[in-house]
Amino acid sequence: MTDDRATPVPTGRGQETATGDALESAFAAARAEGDPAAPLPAGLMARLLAEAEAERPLAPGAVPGAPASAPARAGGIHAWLGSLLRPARQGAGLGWGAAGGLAACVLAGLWLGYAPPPAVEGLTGGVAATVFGAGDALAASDLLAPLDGGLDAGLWDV
Amino acid sequence: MEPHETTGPAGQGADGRSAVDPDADLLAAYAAGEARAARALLERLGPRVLALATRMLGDRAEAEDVTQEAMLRLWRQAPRWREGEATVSTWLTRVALNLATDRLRRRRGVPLDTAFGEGVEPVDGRPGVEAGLRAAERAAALRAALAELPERQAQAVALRHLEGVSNPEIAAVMALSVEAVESLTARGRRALAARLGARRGALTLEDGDD
Repeated sequence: MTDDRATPVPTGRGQETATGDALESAFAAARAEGDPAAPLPAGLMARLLAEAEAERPLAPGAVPGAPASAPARAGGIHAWLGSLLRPARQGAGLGWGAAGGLAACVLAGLWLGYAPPPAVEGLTGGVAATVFGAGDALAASDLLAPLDGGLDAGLWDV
Repeated sequence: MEPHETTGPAGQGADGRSAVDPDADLLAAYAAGEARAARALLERLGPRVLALATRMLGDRAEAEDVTQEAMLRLWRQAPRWREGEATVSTWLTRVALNLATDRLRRRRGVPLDTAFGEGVEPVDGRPGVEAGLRAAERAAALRAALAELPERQAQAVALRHLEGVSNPEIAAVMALSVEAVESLTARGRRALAARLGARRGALTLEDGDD
């Protein structure tokens, strides 16, 4: 493609004019290698669109992966859980990996409470004995009994 | 800035600012999360960026890299875009120009036939092929000389003579006065002519006459 907006060749004679012509010829050759009117090649356009999508800020209230028209829930446990599970790169969310770790910790804690290993039982018993003393009316077993009972009675039935 | 003529894009004033910049509206829509705005911006601005980089570098792969990098910077700038300082088109041209100039100047010191593809032998003797090769050699020699110019001179010359941009537009892109642009392009032209005249066979003065 040639560009009609080329700079006028400086007026002059002899060597100066010839040099100006040669320079213009070189400019024209370089201009011909790029066409600002040609659409972007399909492959480049696809890459550019993918990058634009990766960088695009989220619309206010939008949930990643949800249809753009889905109404955002305001408040409530669902919104809270959604914010926790949102990928960390998109905001203050923890991401599924972190949420999974949290869930594992909760389950382990419940299991330790329901069926503590002997070492843990000995530790809690020892602490209680130290705090309340051997002759205290409230024995360690009395403190732990309601919890044991609660667990036995139906916590697992929830 | 003094008033002066302009051949800039529609809606763009002589100083590169615009009361109505449709690209700025599209960029604001993109920043608000509207996916379709990106495609519209690419269709409007992408071809010119790619052409600028191709003309300056003479290498399609490198020109596409420059286009990707320039557009990536635009996407990241979108949430912080402030209207009234420059049009999106002017801003993007500035970014692409800087990226292409950096690449061009990194070629200095590399042998010409390696950096610019000079010395390619014609595969057949047809006049059209030979003329095309001579044109490619002229363009390559020009880029080699452009790479040796001071950076601002090279940029002003590239915008004026490779892109056909008006001096007021160049002033807006480079944040200079029009007088400074005129001085840069004049000095750049003289320096280019001197370098090309001294370069072995890459640009023969007779080529302009055949």
